[in-house]
Amino acid sequence: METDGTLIERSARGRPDAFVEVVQRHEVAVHGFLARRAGYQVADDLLGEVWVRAFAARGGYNPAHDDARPWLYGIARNVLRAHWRVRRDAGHAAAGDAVDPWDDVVDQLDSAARAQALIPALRALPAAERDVLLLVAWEQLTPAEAAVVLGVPQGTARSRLHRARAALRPVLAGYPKAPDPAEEEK
Amino acid sequence: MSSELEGGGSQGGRPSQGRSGGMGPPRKKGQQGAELLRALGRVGPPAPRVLEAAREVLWSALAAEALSADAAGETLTGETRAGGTDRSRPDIRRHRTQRDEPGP
Repeated sequence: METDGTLIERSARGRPDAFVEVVQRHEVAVHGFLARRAGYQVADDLLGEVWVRAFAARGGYNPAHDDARPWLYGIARNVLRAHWRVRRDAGHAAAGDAVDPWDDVVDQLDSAARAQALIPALRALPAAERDVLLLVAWEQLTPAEAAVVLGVPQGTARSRLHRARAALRPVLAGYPKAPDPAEEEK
Repeated sequence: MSSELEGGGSQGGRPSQGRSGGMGPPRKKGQQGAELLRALGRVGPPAPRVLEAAREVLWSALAAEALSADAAGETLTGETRAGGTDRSRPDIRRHRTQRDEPGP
């Protein structure tokens, strides 16, 4: 199977339709990225914009990167930030929320899980540390891939992740049992 | 995937054993925490129509690029188009034709 890098490179060199296969590979993941942070409705609305921005920016993609997900998540993150900025400017959110709209994220989370002490612990994390932690936990990225999403050096992402883990570890140690996804979905 | 909260390697260190004497695996609590964190971010898959609508937006961008490339080519010379490098345009047009047809 061709890598994402190969397809994106080809799409930038006269075969733009090759980009569609990249989209088809990652559309569910990118929608999930958006939905986890802004809810299904916003994710539905913004997904197309992510594709258009990615398509426009494909000429700058490094084809040596086989997996385009970190790049696509970075674009999705920018689209979300723009969305939040517009919301803030329209008076739907408090000033400053454009950068760290964590309350919006909390609103989208599973209601049973919200009752746990984990939410306040996550809220207490600096936004930059929380971003890395959730990219690793939710998007299953490596710290190096999270660094690509956030546009920071790998060492910075690793140290932020380390601090986030250290901050959450005492909180999570108090949980006797993790929720069973199969039970929760009943 | 290994536990997000354990970190693997030397960064996070190994968690201390529980007060009960450490009967379970050493990483159990961290793994539970990682599972809980993952559960927080669990979302369902989007409806197919959502994915199709987003792809349609992309196809519009593809078509716009093809049209602008056509226009640029005609403006320049209208002669030397690299025939082997631009086979996508018929694909785009075919897609647009199919999508423009009324649905069932």
